Amino acid sequence: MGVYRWARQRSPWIVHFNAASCNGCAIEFFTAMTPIYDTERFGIINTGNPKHADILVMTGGANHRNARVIKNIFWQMPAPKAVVAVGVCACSAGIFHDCYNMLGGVDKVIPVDVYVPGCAARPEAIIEGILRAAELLAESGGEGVGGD
Amino acid sequence: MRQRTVIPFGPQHPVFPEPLQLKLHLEEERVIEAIPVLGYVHRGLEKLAEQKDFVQNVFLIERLCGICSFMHALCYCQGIESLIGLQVPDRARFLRTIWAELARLHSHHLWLGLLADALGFESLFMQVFRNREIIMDVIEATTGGRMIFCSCLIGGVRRDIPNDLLKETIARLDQAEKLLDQIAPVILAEYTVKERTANLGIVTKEQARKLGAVGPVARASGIAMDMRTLGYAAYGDLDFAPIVEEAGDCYARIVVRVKEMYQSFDLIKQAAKRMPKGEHALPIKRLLPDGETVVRVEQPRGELMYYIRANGSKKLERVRVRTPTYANIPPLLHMLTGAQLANVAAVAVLSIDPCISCVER
Amino acid sequence: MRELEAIEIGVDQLLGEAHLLAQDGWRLVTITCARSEDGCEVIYHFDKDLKLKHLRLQLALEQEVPSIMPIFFPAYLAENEAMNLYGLRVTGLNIDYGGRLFTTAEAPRHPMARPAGARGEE
Ligand code: SF4
Repeated sequence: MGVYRWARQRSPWIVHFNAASCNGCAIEFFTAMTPIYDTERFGIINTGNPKHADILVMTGGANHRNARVIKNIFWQMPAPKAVVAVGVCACSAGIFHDCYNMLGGVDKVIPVDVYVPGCAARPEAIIEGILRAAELLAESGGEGVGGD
Repeated sequence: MRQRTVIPFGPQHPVFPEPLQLKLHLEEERVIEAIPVLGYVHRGLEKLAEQKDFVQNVFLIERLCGICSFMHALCYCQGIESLIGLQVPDRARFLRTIWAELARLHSHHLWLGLLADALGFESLFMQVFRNREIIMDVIEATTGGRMIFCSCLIGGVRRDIPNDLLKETIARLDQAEKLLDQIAPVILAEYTVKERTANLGIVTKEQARKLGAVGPVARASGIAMDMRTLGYAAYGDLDFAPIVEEAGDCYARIVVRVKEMYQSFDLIKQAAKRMPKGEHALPIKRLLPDGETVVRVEQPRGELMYYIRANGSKKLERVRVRTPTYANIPPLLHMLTGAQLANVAAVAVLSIDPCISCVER
Repeated sequence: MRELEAIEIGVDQLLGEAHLLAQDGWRLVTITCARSEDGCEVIYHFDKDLKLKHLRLQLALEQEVPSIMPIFFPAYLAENEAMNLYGLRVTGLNIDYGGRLFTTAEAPRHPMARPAGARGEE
């Protein structure tokens, strides 16, 4: 196990973007960062800057206006990177699937590595999803996962 | 002439969980004009509500906003019930009140946490969220869900809270109230908080009227407007008075919300004490809504209005949702004009407790 | 059929009525737009001391309606929204999003102007 692999698995920083969601999943994501669930025990830190981040956590689906923003954030992140789609909205647009302004899940816009289902996804599930993404990061051995 | 710059604030911003973009026109550090750019969360829910039938809509409407999902369902169900001429059982009315107040509690906690975070008060943020988990646990024990309750249905509520669970709920809430007792003085008396928020973003009573402010924003400006005094659900049977502050600045809005948290605890206890016996839901078989109506309830953020028009079939003709943040955006623009750039995120925007997914639907 | 107790007015009466309500201290709650058989129906909801008052306006297709934003500033969001979703023609807006408050050029232009089914039942 190289030092890269070890470091990537142990300190993934995340950037969160809330697309066309109902906030339910976004708030659950925040909850997952706080003492009861405490993601910092895995070295996971929430940053606001995509340039510092390894994992993009998406809540909510893509619509016509925010597709550009999602792409923008994704391409600003340095490789290797991974994307976690949290909630059925981010996975497939969920209940809003038939809405006129929705493109669908985030995977219509950027490549997604881990899907976390649930409406709203529970904090435990979100943590599990982020840890899976961290494993993917570790295995990538220098090349980017998810699109590069 | 001084130089003007335009700063796009958002849609992705660290202190701001939601994608709202504000185009801030600055003169040096001062904001002279703020223009919101909306549409990052627009889904088209109102049209989808015309495609599904009116019973399915309850579950759709709940997902309009994850924070106050219960209030949306409550408002919608009250509208449909008035259209089909249904009187919900007493116990359902009281249960709805309890859940509505629980939703208010968790929403206000969330706001307090985000405010603390925006002020750079990280330990307080963590404390508030720890406290919030108690309320989330209570919600989960009584409804089965954490964010989306799915407990309000047309004709009543989906499940009962048995009396022993109710007792346990009250005990847990007492615990949460004690913890809040430790937090509230910190935010209310701490001079750094006061220094940053007092005299900032002032909305006078006259302006608040003119700009159509609702909820805590209006109440902090001295307008005693609270839709709960209309007496929907069980609020008609409970004792409370709207909480009003006069100053109209950000600090007053903080005070109003913190006091409302205590009020919610009190209302839940009152409702639990007077909980009537009986069934908790009525069947709605073969009843169809017909006509049009306007319903209003008080959300954590203020007055929520639904306009519903039905035509005697299963599908509704029009569902119009006017959410509180929608009404509070004009006051927000007023607050931002003249504010320092450093105060925009932390203080001005958060003091209206915005919910963008509500605004855009 | 339960109808809303709304005052039916014509387009030319709108500004006058709005002025009177504003002087009387009413607050604009919101503006609702809905489809009707021939064109579109606009309902203005006002509130004073928790009482509601509604003004109802019947518009033919493509008929113009003056903005009440100079009288009630909060109207601008609702009017821009109606322009976007219903293609309502509002004149005299101070803040005009050009009918693109919520949607972009890729989305349907006036998505609510036609009955449901455009995308959901394809
Ligand atoms: S998955 Fe459900 S809770 Fe999550 S954002 Fe979508 S509608 Fe909201």
